[in-house]
Amino acid sequence: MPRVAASPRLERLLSLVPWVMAHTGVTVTEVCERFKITREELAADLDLLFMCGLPPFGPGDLIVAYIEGDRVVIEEADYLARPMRLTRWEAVRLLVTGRALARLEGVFEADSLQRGLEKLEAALSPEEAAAAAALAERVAVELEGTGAEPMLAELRESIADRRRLKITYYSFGRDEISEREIDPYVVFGALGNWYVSAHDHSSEEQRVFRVDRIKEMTITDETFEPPEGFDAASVARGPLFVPSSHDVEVTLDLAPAAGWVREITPHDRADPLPDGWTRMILRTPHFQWLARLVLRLGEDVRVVGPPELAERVRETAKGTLGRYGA
Amino acid sequence: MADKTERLLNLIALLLETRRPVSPDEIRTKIPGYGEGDVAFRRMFERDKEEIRELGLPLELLSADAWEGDEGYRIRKEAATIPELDLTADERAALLLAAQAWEGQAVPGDPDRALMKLSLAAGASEETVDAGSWFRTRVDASAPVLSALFDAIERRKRVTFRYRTGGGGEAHERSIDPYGLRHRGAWYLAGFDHDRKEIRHFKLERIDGGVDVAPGKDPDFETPVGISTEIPRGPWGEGGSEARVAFAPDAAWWVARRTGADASVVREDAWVEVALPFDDRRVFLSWILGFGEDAVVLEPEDLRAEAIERLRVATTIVAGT
Repeated sequence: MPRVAASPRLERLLSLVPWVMAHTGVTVTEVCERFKITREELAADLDLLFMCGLPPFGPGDLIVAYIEGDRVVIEEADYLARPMRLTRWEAVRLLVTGRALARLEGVFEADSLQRGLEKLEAALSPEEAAAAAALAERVAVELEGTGAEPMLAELRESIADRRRLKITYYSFGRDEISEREIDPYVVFGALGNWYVSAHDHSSEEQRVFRVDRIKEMTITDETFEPPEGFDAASVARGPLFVPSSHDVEVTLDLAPAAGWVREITPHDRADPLPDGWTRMILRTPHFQWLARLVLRLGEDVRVVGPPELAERVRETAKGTLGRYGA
Repeated sequence: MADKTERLLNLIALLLETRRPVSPDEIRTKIPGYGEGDVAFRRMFERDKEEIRELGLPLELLSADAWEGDEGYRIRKEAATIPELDLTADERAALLLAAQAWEGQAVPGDPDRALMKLSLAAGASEETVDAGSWFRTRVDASAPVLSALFDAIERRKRVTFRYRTGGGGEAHERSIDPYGLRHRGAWYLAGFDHDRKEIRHFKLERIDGGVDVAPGKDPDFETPVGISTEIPRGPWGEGGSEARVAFAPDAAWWVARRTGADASVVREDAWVEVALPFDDRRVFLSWILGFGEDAVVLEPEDLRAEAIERLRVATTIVAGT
């Protein structure tokens, strides 16, 4: 028998009542925004509350819940006025990401995080706290170990103080090290790596840099202002690869064993072929990283086109053989 | 008949407010919505009790009357509600960052609601402190299979699903004792594979279709103590074998940073010789070849020979199907 899940509506009601009672005079819009519900859902919730109370459910025993003008009113529900303890799952989710953040040493005020997590455990019943602790042992979030950690503290400082950074950056796509000046806006995690979104002064474009490929960085005295309306959340959610007019279309056929390439390479399409292989079409301004990818994959890849990519693979293979003295 | 949410809310209110334990019979007469038959009542009441426990509310079964031995239920308010708690603005901001990391609701327990409850208990404002504005991280909790896997891990139930290795090829059915989940850019399941007879890792996005959780209430396995659910971090391994690889100066610093390897042996030509452990030679060689002209396998000899052979083949690649 599967677990009996708590009804989401009941869970919502048990926090909506204390929240509204603690925020006297709160408006319909504010409640809807906080609980991510529509006005109709709120009205239905209040109607339901109005039917609830204590036996024998006479007029004086029922919860008073209504909308007056634009204000939400809940009264006569003292027994529901205090927030219920956290469930083990509410605690587990905060615990595992909280611990992951705390392990990024020097990046967060680990003290306040640690204290917050301790108070969180006090907000569970002893049984649920034990269950949460056992679960948190079996669910882990890893933010560390990407090689980006030595850079994070300085990136944070630079973003907070809006000071320009001078970086030595290894571009994998072009296989070259370059010196750049960047105005960093936000650091974000994606696909198991850390990235920084920044204005790049050498191209005068907004670019995304992989943090572990920044070899060195210095905070300069120059200051900057982020562009108006810059939305860190949407940048962090956006694509890592921004198409440009320099892009060339490339077609690769991938063997089943090379299926992982699709998971980590931004591409336009991937279609199954009759022999079980996959045809992947992507666009890129640089061939160098692709030539290396083809070397990596060996017999698990066929370069369909363009011929210039095949030529680059041959050159890279010859150059590498030269390093072997072969 | 009264709506189920309404019935439960009334039941919770009664059990919170009562001073003495309330017997099932009394509950049935006082709370509307339990219907007529005895069997129906018992079934509904059992489910209601489970749902109350699922909400994290400690439901107590006590002797209602010391003389007659009747049993009854109550929820002690002090045990059910969060005690007075002080939560400073910086503690709240830190927890907010932990809550914001989660996206999607396939996993039970909304972290935003957890934080709301804490703020209410502390009488603290929910004003957003901008502590995390420089930094975003994302733990995707939207994959529907997560719900079944979290449930199976908690209740120690065996799961079956169809899985594609390496992200491609035929999907095969796997039967797994799920030990743990780990998120590293993507979700991985660690568990005992009953066909392979060893602990394996499964990337959730390679699961084809849904996850079936074994029926029954009792746990199907014991989670062994002290086993590692670590996922191998990269193509370099734990140390089954060791290779010596020379890296160009432009690549060596990154290899050292990423793998933690010692990069102190610098040759006269500025190349750096690094010792790297590896388990799977095919995966390891592929990773090294991906460095192109920036990496040369020095040892072992057979790995070096294989690298040279693969590079020779690559010098003849032509475009076309």
